[in-house]
Amino acid sequence: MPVLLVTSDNEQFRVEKVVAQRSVLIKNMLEDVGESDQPIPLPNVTAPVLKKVLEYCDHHQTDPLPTGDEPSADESRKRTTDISEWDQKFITVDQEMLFEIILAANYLDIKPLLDVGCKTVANMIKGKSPEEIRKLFNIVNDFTPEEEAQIKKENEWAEDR
Amino acid sequence: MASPSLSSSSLGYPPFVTKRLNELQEVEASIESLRAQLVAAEFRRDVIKKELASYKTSRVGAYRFPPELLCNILSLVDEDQVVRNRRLSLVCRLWRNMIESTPQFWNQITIKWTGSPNSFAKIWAYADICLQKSKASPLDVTVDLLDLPAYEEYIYQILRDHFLALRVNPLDFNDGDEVPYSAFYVEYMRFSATTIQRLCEFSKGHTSRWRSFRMNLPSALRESGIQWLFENAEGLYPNLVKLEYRIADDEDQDTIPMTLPFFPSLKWLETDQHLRFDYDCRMVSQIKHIQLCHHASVHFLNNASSLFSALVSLEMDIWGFGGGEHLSERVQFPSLRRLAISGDITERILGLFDTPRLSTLRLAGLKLFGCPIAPLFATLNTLSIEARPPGVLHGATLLESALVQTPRLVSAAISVDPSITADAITKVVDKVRNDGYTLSNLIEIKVTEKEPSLDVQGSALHATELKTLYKIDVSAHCGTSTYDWL
Repeated sequence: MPVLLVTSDNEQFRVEKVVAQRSVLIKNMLEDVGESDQPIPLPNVTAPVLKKVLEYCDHHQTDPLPTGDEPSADESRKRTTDISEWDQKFITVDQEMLFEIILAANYLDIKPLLDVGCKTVANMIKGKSPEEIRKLFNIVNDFTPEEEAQIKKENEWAEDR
Repeated sequence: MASPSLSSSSLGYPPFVTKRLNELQEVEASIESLRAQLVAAEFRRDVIKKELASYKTSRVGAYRFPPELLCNILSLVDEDQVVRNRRLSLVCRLWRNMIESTPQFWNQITIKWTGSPNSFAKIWAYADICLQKSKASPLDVTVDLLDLPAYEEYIYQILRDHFLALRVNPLDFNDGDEVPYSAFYVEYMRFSATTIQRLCEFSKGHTSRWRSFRMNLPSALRESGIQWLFENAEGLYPNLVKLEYRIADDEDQDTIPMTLPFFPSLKWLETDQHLRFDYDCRMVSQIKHIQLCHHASVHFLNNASSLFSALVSLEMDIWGFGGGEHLSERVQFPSLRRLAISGDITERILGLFDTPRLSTLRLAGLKLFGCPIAPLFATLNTLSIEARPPGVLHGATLLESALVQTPRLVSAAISVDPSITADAITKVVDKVRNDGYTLSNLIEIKVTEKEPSLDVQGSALHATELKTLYKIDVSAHCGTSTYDWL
């Protein structure tokens, strides 16, 4: 049975239940309301973002849902920055869309998508200098020169390890 | 002189024209005023737009993530903990505070030899900081002494400062023994054992937080300390999920079989050492991933029976005639999904597996497909074959043997020497399909090469990475096969 999703900008998406239920939030909502054709409002997601998210859910609709009891699940998830070929292509979007997808995945509780997004951002950060990171994410350096020098000094030993 | 005024009646215009001229002047003045207002409004608009643009930019930036999400992202940055924390702390106050106050940024305790006794001392000091800052969070503990130098270099590093004033090389002195400064030699040979014991003492009261323990040791050290750890493990590591230990290859040194003690939460085990399980222990039924070397693999297959019911992933090496030829009992792995075997008696071993849920198989070595059809192929959707050196079946024949046994296959990767051409692969797939095997799920076949080059004898699967040279689209719906060079 299809499910009707309504975005913050009032666009409606009719999707298969199995696709929509990749989102734990939607899955729980559907379980709460039972069999109903009531639209599900998603006030934190805009139409272009939901479209992308649903593309992901559709592609991964047959994947086993994460159970959390994989061997060392958290650790192995965190240690690897591997992203599958399809996911890599999927997540190759502009930075604004990438951040929107992450926020949507977080809100909709789609752990595998959240992982892909977070890993992508983590990969963008990897190997970059603090200045490069600031530039990448529009972050203002709010340290005084003295504070900056102090932090560098605290970690000096790491340089000559 | 006063400027002439259009409204002046002295110009001699009739009153009607004078009136209109005055009106025109008012309209002009009004237009001027409106123009000035327009300029001011445009200026204001530009200022507002600029403000909004900068607001939008900052919204695009990392500021918009809630703290727990930002924390998750930063913790995923796959770098050495020291380097990562140092660099990220320098970005801004928010990030620094987050790193300083979040235990998970400090949960890697790494005791690694990095070049000198001095820096080794600093490593311990840093480990102490991490132990405190990680609070109650699970710990990932690593002992890595692979870079510990040979004894003479080690002793030189310890003594050189003392001899500096004398301007002599400490190694020029010899106390008559075969080994210089032999008292230090005993200490050196026990280096890893001492390190492990010190680590356990150091983290006393925190061992229940150990989530993973990884150890990499050079072969030169006589005692690894792992035996000591195993003997003293009881009750101390209730939450240890992952255990990984390796000792650099040394053909002269026989590894002594050790029995794995009871780690109640253990789910992940990797070792290149001769390890045995206590097959009566309930721990074996909860382990999900195992990677074993030759000796341990043979012993494992001889005893596993149906005990490893939760095992999802298994990697093993079986090379030479160290007992593998006597394997005969079938072994049941009801949950196994990924299997990797490297060896030269693979055909014999494959026939032993009862794996109803196997989906991924990686084979490396010799004699891969000489056996009758092995049932474990029937459920595969991913197959990787590495067959070297020459002397095995020709690549195309090897691929054909694999394809006829794998009706559900989706993707295959093949690495053979000499390499197989795209045309040859296409012909094999066409032939197999013409012979009645539909291969309806098959999408692509990748041709890969090993990176770095494969050391056949005793090669460990974990150490090998396959690089895709090109992939061929062989989906059933694709009229003509195409291939992409990568």
